[in-house]
Amino acid sequence: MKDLQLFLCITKKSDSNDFTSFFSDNGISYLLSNPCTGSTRKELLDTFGLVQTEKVLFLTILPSEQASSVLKKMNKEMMMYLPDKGIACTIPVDTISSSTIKTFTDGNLTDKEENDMNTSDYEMIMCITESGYSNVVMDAARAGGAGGGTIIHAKGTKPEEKGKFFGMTIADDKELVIIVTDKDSKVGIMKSILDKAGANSEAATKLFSVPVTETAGFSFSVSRLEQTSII
Amino acid sequence: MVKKLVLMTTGEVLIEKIKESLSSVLPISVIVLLLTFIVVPVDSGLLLAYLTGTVLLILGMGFFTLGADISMSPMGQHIGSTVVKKRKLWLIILVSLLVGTLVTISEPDLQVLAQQLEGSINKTLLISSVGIGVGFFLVIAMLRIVFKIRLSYILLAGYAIIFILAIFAPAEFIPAAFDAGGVTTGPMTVPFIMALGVGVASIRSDKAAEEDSFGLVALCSIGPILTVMILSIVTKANAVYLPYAMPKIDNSQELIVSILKEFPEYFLEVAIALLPILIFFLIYQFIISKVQKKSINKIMAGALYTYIGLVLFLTGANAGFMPVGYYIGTQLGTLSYNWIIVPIGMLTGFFIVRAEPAVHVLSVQVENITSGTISRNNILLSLEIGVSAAVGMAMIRVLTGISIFWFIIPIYVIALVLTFISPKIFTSIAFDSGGVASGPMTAAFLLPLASGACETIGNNVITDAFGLIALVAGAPLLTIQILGLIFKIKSSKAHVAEETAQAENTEQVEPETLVM
Repeated sequence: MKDLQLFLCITKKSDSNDFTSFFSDNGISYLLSNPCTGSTRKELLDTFGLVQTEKVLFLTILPSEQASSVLKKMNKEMMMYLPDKGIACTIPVDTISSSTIKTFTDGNLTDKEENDMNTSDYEMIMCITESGYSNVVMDAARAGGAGGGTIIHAKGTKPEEKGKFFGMTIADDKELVIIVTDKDSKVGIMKSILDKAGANSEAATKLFSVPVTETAGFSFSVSRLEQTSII
Repeated sequence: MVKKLVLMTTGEVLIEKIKESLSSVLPISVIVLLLTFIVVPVDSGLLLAYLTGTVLLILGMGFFTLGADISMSPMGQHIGSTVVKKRKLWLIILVSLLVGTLVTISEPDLQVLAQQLEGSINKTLLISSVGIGVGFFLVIAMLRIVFKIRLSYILLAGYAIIFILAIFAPAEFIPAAFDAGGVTTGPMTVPFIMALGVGVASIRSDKAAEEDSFGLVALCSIGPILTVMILSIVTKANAVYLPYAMPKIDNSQELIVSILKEFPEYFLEVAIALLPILIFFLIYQFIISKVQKKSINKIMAGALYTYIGLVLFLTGANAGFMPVGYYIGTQLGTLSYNWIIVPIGMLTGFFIVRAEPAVHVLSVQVENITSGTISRNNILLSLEIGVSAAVGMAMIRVLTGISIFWFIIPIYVIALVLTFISPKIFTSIAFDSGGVASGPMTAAFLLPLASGACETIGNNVITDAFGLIALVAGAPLLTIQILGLIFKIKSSKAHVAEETAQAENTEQVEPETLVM
């Protein structure tokens, strides 16, 4: 197993240019970005369109060491310790093709022992839900103790025949909800989603969680405000 | 602490919107203000009205864009994505016909045009037939996407019919007919119809989805041109121009009175414009595909913003910009060096595009759909250059009175030829921008400017000043498709470079392996 991490970063759309230049300054040249929507607790303000919910998701693959230093640098330079500034995390990569390694890194990689998995106290929950139901999922997640989440519009694929309507191919409309949370609250959140938006409900949510190696941007949360010293 | 943070994020959105609307309205306001200082002296009452109008415009633009983002666009997208998902052809036809007709009937810009032509064609007849015309073309536009017919072919057919009809139509109606095409696709229609296309594209997984998100507005602009021409042939009406009545403002009190008089008019007009769409959407989502309550609340709040925004914007444009535009026009016409109206027109044309509310919607949509490959600034610059050239041509017409055909025919012939050369997505965006670039600001400032000049120079307003909107709507067809050509050439060069680089590297290719 090579020592690689999938690097994910979610920021506000208005800040996305700053982040792009931060990444390129730190030698990250191959970066995927995708528009997505942030969830918000400020319901009334959201109704009146006064909360910026447009976000951007950045994706890349980095060697573990670089990933770790980038995350630390981000916390400081991009002021990720501030609320609503954005989050980032890394997820261990298992299998990868040789050319992909070349695309993302300079190729000098150390091998890593299988049991040498150092993971953080965080996990990432991914929920695939029917289009239009991400609100329901987020409400359920919050009831289970989640702080926030990110919604990505996604297209499911169907067998070719089923999706055809004259000349068009109609995709299965889906929404992908990503929630990064600490391990202690994970089960509660997932159970709450299953209860309120699980397979038997209209939302028909499918969900799973993956381990997270390291994070940035989680130092602030309202409940921990008193314990955390900012900076 | 938490409260403070909430305030911070709220402020951020508002500040961003205000910044955006300042950057779109201020440039043109400053240019016009400079004109009144340097070239045409304006009395203080008029200046006061103009400054008040500018403030209203900035506020209105801010509210409108916020409202369009959270209300008009989501509504259109919801209808677009769900109506196709139902996979029933009759439903697509019915919904497109209804949406096209309803949105057009309620378009404030169309009301203004109908008023200007009231002397020749009955107002209700004109509005309802243009509405049905747009509905009909929206059906064609949707069916085109479903049956995968190339946009260029339909544009070619549509404009061929228009130019054939133009031979039979009374000559003085032709500029007005072409203007109708640009005018009807205004701040109400564009966000909604554009979102409809994006909605349809959002649930498709085939390759053409991206370029097909545009092109609906393009076809909808054909409808009004055709209907006005047919109407003028059928009714054999004579075009009559109703001269513009300058409001007389001597002091600040009279100014307030004149603006207060305008307000109720727009309160009612915009309410009539918004209600049919809102009601249609509520019924649609109830019968066809439900929306969550939370989203409905947000859409309603957004509709309120759109309402406030449009009322402020239209009042500002008509009470502030229209009189000044007309006055500057008449004064420029009397000058011995009246050719100066051409460069002045080009200058104002360049800066006025940004202040069109629908342009904001288009440029944002383009950037989103192409994930930034075609940037907002590229689109804006192309529009600015195009409109600037168009207003220049229109002013030459005002001075010389040469027929609009000398300009319109070459523009459309070149534009239609370009549809086969330029990348498809640029063709769709270009023909969409035609309707988008010519909105309330063009109608409320540039057209009065041209009419005023035309009157004092002694040319015929109906044939020589009208047609300005048509030119403004026509020029982006060229500039944006040329932008597409530049993109094409650039990317093919990059492609060649990449290929040669790859060819040099061929020896080093090693078999791919999986690394675990």
